Amino acid sequence: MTTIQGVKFEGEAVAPTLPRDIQTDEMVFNMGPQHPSTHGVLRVVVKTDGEVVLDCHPLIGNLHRCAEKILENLTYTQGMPYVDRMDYLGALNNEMGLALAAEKIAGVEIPKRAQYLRVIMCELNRVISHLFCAGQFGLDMGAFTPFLYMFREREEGISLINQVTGGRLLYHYIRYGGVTRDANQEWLDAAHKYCDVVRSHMDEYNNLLTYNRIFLNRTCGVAMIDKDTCLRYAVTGPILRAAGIQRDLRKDMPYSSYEDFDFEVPVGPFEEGVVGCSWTRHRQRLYEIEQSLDIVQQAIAKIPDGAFAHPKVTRAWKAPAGEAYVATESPRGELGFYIISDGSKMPYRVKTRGPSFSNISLLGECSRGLLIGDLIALIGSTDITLGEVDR
Amino acid sequence: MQSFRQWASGVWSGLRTTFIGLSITIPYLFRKPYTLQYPEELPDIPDTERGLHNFEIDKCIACDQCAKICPVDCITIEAEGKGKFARMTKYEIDYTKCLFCALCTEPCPTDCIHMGPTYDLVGYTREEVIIDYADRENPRTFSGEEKIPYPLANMMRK
Amino acid sequence: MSLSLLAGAETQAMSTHIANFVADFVGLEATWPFHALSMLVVATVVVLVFVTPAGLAGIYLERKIAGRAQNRVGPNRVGPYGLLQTLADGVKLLTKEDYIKPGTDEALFRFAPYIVFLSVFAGICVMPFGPGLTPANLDVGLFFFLAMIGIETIGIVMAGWASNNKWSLLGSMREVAQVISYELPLGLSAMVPVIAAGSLSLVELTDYQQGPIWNWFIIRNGYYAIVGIPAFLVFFVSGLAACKRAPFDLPEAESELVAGFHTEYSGMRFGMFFLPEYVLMLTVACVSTVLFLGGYHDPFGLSAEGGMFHGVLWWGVMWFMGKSILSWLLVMQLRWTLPRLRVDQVMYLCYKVLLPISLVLILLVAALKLIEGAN
Repeated sequence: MTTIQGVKFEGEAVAPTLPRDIQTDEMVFNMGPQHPSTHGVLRVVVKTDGEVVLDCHPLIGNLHRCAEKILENLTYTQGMPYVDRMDYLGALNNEMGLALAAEKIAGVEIPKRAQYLRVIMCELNRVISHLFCAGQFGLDMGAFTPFLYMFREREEGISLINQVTGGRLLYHYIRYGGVTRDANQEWLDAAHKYCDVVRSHMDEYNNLLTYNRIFLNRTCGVAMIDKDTCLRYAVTGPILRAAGIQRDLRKDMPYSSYEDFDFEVPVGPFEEGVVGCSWTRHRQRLYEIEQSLDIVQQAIAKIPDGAFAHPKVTRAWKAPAGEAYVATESPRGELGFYIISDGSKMPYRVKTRGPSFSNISLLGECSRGLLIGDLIALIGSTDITLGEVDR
Repeated sequence: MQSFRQWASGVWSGLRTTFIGLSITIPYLFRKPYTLQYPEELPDIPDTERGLHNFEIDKCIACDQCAKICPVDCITIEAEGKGKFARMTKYEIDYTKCLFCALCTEPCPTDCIHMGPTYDLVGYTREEVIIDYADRENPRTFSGEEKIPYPLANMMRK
Repeated sequence: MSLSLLAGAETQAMSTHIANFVADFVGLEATWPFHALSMLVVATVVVLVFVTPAGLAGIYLERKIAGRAQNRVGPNRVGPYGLLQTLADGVKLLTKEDYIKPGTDEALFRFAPYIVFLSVFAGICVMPFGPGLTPANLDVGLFFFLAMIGIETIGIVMAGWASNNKWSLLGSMREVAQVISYELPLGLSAMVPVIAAGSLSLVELTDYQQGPIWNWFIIRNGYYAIVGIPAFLVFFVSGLAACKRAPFDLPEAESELVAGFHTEYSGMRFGMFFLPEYVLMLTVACVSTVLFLGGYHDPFGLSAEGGMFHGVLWWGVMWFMGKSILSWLLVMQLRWTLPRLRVDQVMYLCYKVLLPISLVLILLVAALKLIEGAN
């Protein structure tokens, strides 16, 4: 155990991939919180031998805003805009989790149309979130152009969601008992067309980035996160599926009418690369975009008429005394909300299980022996949102 | 021989994918750009946009409902007099705090506060983005349709 | 340094003229201090008047290409089509605070940009821009160019070391490993046309390829294409690595090393790194034009001996710059297409791909030369 700059490093890690016949002095880098590739305000203290990472230690908490404590001091309705700010790239999925948890305590069954609208919005949100992540990963690998191509489609998706929800990043769309606004048929047609547009650009992304030989060399078999590590660190989401474990809460524990839709969960490995490498994770996200587009189009085709909110759930709504945990599949993995209600207008206790928090914790173990460029690949392909890690 | 074949296929696929990449990016040089020239071209703002508030002071009865539901307490209301003769002296929204969640528009009994289409919130000081809608000397008139452009656009039009 | 090297025939004549004029004016004999000073003036004017605008144009083109390749517009506010953007940025860099953070090795920190600037600008002085227009017509012009790329590395190592920043240090270490390694395939693939032409002088290499397009080395007489095309590719890729361009921009890899060796530089000191980068790209493009694409000769044979444009300056300059700028643009386009290689893959590409290929090409071209001589 050594302590450098107040950070404890466990054991004397050696680089497993490269021979260490030349002993050189070790260096300690501070990667972040102002480093371009740490995706926010993450600080990673990296101990290296030249270019080889011996150990690294993520230091989190720079974005801590007491979100859970704030939720306990606001009424149910007032708390909803706060969860948007946790995982700001998948804001609608956060709202979905909180709403489902509170509705589970109250035992409210919300109208079918509202459930479908939630699914459409959440899946569109997943598409734009994954487009962001895939582009960001390319940017970390030094390819700037695919990032902006993906941002072009992301921009259109944002505008689309904006037309119904009124927000571009933080939507505040899903409420207890339903959604705030109904979507008209015109918008549903536009969303259907948007799915085709994104699908038509997938080849462009793949040819430009995913199957580029340099990108393949950079990411295939690099920054491995294997099954065992995933299970030990409670890693969920695309990382877990890319490690070869079929686990998707939309399929395994359907919520909000996900059981109505017919979709396949892509599981690695894919055409190139091996199970659990960073290329597989990147490809996993691109496949999940296509899968989400399928779900959106199915939902648009099947959407029933009816109310978009439960008539009895009002602004001054109180949940009865009780507790509930609801896990949903956010773009980053299993997002859980645990609410204890004492029957008052504010929740007694709220606990969030943020997927990014679990996913970031494997950084120390998985980074040993990587090169600095590979460490960037590891951070980039785990797709963490620091707002959710620190909450 | 096996390893030589691997080597050669690696070199070949490197060259091939580079040319595929170039064949995607070079045509973009001759395509129309996707971006908007922002201060001159304004984006389409849907009616649902949750921008700066539209506030109709004449309708407001100073009931304090909006201030109560606000999760961040960014609305300050002060009024003189009681009931029918109430006169609003202050209706201040602190946009350094505002979440743009639109919760304040929901409980309003007279329907006097809405989210407007104005999305530009710029100022040189913090005081500039605390807006008093009841200030009768310099009233802020918003209408639903009018888009208030970015100050830069005004500067460039001169 | 560029004092004696710039003493090409034309520049020398000009500087002698100036020296005589000034000596005459002050009423003294035109002794060596006059000659030395006037040579310095001529060299500075050549560099500042011709090369700096080329570098500025390169920065503008890069931004425009980056913009259009990414479905954006690029600079379009300052001046018509944003043409004055680079100039405006230059003014900004000049007026910025010259900040040197505590803990730096100040002498080295201040000196490093000048080495980079000087070596790169000296390197372009040996280019044959047109018939009779070679600022310094050296017999070992190619060798001089390779040497200048090597000297540039020293400046970058100094910058990285003196910055007192671990990221900068790592960036400069990468630069050393990369540029020193890529000197090998760069030099060896340049030897391929040199063996065929039998000269290291860039002017003689150009004139070796005069005549119509099938006299250019890349496809000379048809059968030279089997060495010409691969040698051109190897030279081009090594050239990309030698001027640290994507996909080999590891020394400044912004997503890994923040900004690499120039993280701590700001203001004009940063400009002194930034401008030479584009000039170096142009130099590499020029050398590849000279070696493989016929230099200042046009593809129709009009500038060959006996042709109607033989020895016509503007015709030669037009073709030379046209061909060079095309390769220059390709270098820029590649940056906005490809991801970045990893540090060990850069070394793999150098020692296991480019170096063997260039060695085989040297053998092949020697054999071709022998067969040609025997017939």
